[in-house]
Amino acid sequence: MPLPLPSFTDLDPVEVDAMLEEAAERLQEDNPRLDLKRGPNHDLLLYPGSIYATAVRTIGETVQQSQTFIGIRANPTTADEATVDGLLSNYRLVRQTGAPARGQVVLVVSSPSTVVIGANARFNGNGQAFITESVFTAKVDAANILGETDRLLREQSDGSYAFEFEVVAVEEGPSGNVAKDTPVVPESPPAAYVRSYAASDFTGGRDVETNADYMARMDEGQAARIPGNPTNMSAMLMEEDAFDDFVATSIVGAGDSAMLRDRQSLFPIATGGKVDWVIRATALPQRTLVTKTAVFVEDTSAGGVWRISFDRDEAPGMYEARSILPAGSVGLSGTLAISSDTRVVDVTDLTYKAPTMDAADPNQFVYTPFQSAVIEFVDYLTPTSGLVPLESTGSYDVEVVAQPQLAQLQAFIQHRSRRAAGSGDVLVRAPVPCFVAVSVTATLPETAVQPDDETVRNEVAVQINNLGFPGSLSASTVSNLIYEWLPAGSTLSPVDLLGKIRRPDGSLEWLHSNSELKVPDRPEMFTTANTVCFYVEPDDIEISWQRKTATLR
Amino acid sequence: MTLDDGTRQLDILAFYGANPTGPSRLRQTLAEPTATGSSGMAVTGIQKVAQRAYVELFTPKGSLQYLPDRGTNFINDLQAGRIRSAVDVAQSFESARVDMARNLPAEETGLEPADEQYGDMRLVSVTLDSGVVNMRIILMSAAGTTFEFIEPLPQVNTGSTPQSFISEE
Repeated sequence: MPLPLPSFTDLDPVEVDAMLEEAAERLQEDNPRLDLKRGPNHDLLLYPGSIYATAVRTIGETVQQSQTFIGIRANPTTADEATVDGLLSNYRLVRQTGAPARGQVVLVVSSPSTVVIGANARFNGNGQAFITESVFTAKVDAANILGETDRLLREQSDGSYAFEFEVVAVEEGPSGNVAKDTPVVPESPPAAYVRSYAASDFTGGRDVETNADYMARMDEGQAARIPGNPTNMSAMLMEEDAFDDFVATSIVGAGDSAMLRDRQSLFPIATGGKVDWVIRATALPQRTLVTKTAVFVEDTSAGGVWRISFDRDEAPGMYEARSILPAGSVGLSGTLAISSDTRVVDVTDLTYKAPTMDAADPNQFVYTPFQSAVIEFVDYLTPTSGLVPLESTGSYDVEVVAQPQLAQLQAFIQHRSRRAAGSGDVLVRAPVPCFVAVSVTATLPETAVQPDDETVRNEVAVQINNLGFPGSLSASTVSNLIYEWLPAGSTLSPVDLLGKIRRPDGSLEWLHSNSELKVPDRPEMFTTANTVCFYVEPDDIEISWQRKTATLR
Repeated sequence: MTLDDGTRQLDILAFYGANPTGPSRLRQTLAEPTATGSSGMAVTGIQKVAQRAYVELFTPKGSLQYLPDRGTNFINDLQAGRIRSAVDVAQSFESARVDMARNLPAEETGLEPADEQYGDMRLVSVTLDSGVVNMRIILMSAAGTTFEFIEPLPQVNTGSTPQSFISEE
């Protein structure tokens, strides 16, 4: 398909000028008696002809640039996408398409009556539009739940009723990946509507891959898709639709200080043959709300102690239970106090051979798909009279934080057709998390327009969360990101960075600095620059906006 | 009209109907019906300079996207309603004359015959009457040959009283 001519009004004036000069020179050489000064020859022949020739030359240059790697890398924004697609298809690369975000919405009503949400019903959340793809019917009686799109209206603690249903963003892109609890409001509220919000983080929204990002995968395109070196293993991910949009990966293998699993022999030496594949699938770990049945353990002066457990497949590789509240709680935020969080390894009933892990060393299996968790917490809200220890149960809403798709990737890499014939011991793990909070003061000129606070925080968070495994987070990086949004004449205070590393053994390490958060090198705790990622939520970025005041001189 | 001796550069005659002497109405066309004149005539000499000057003077500055300095603001002033009196016409013309003096010689190589090189352009007289600006303009080549033309232009926001301006030689 031929490339269209660019608009005649969008050409580079320097190029048109040069073409005018060149065309005049060539026309004059061929036709010495032609007067090309101002007049019909100039205005009707030379001038429009030069504009047209410039447009054609522009297409030629675009095609030339788009057909070579050096040209695409030099000008990724102007390279023709169709030509780039054709070129990189020779290397088994396919441009990632855009996709809309998807997620579940909780809708709360005040009365126990059937609620119908029609197909293509529109909702708005965080400036994004979402629609339903099916008709959802919420019913009071569980016996009437017949179809896949029927939902049960559950009574909440305040007497209201809630149900969940799925929505999809109208537009593709990461803007639709709204966070859990974000208000998602219907344009046409149903009867008895109270409120609605995101049940969990929305996921899956992404933009079409740019030429620059596409080219960045060039090395992976040429690499063999085998569990060999880091490039080969990234190439394996690229082949699979389910894994091709992972944010970053890191390999801990033979010779790396954080490789603990290859020192299990009688001799205290590293024997090699094992790989820990640290996967940052998404920029931020997903927050998912699950309702769990807890067992009453004992009564204490602080309240009842309850226990919940997550088996291996419920929340593979989860980081933590960030919030535990009685089920259906309304008007409560935060969490009941967690008194213990015990992780154990579970390799039972697998369809493949599990990687080797020492069950006594949590640093070898925590944040992997083979961990199960037992969490005990103290509930001072629920009366304990009449409860029988280890028999009585209760329902609790638990917000689980985890990187997604770890179990799927583990099964994928362990498949006989893909694992290395020699050792085949590849353990998929989530990065050790360093949760970051940022605080800064921005001082604007007296009459300058203040940027939208939410937009700035969201954009800064996106940039930080896509750093991969940088090993450190500098205050200047954060400052530079914020400066892009500030009007001329603005100043920033020193950036205050606070980081909380949650190590695999459950211990916390705090980092605090005005210059740089540097990942400490503790390989015995699987905590190194190759294993730790920085996560920052937009709500954990605090920007105080101030104005300069004029001073009389 | 200057005869072509086979050595001069030629442009296409854009304005038909000019007589060697005396007033005549020009028609802006690249071709004429064969009964009254020949099509696609070429032009040289002072008439070519006059054609260049005429086109340059009445091209609104900025109207050629990739030649932003070509043309003058004369038509821009007329269209914006800034010309309300004969003095305004004269002032705008003088400003345009500066642009002409810069642009027209800049495109000459200096190898053209002197009667094809731009010399100067002066406004002889101007009258405003019934919404029309009538100008008499004399063009001079570097050789000293002259070409005079009268240009009636519709005026925006005309005054009700006819006005005249006559420049001194």
